[in-house]
Amino acid sequence: MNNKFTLDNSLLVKLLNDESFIRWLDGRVSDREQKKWDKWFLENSRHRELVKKARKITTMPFVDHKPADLQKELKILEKKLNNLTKEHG
Amino acid sequence: MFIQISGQNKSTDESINDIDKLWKGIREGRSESLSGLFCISYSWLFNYGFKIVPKEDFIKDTIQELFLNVWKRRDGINKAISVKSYLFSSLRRIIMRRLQKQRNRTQRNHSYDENHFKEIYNIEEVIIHFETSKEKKEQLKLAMESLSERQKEAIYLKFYNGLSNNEIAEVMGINKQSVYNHVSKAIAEMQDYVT
Repeated sequence: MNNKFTLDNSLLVKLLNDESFIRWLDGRVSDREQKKWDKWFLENSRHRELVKKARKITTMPFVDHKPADLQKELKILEKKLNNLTKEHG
Repeated sequence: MFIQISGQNKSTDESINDIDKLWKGIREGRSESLSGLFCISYSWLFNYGFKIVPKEDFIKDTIQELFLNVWKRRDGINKAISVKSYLFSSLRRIIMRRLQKQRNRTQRNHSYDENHFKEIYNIEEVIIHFETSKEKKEQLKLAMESLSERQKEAIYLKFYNGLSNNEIAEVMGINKQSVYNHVSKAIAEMQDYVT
């Protein structure tokens, strides 16, 4: 079951630590990077499989704690800023 | 406040540009830029802070303190390489300092550290996401739970907030190699379940 030490898994770890690869995965790369990774992707089926795995890991669903009232917090901040301005003339 | 499951919170190039423009505005003394940055960053700062200390009012206060500090120090702040990592690391420092003060005041050892990055993934959702078999469900649950707090924090900053390893190192106050190690170990735990 444990396949942590295969070559592909080592490569997956390496890829997910590569900022350029992550940018490509997210679709926010420069043209030059885009071409480089597109070429790499098409080189062989192993790479396509790695991309599939990488996407699975980077898009894992996180728990999101959503704050209730941003406008209320913004008003508090603006009031504090006003007080600060008054204090300092 | 309510809790929901979410995908990534990564900045696009456009939003990074917006953040940089607002940062410039703050340095030039425009309070509306501070309000703008507050609105853009509030959600991801709150989420990050809440994972360190799961107390809503406490985190709201620390975010207020963070932005007041930014405003007070606007003349001295430099053109930060990454505004996002600057905000994360400043918030983290404020939280840690407040926790330390509380500990000193109460002289009790119990702390929020027990909850620090306890839950970043919803296990049930992750099981669906990985399309894993029922047999592997418990193993996956154990694998998720076995991640250390540091590993969870690193992958949360990386995959949810889109920070680079350099930026994560700055936020967590560790070196880049340690970030690489934390991220790599966490990936090694997860990749067995990717079909």
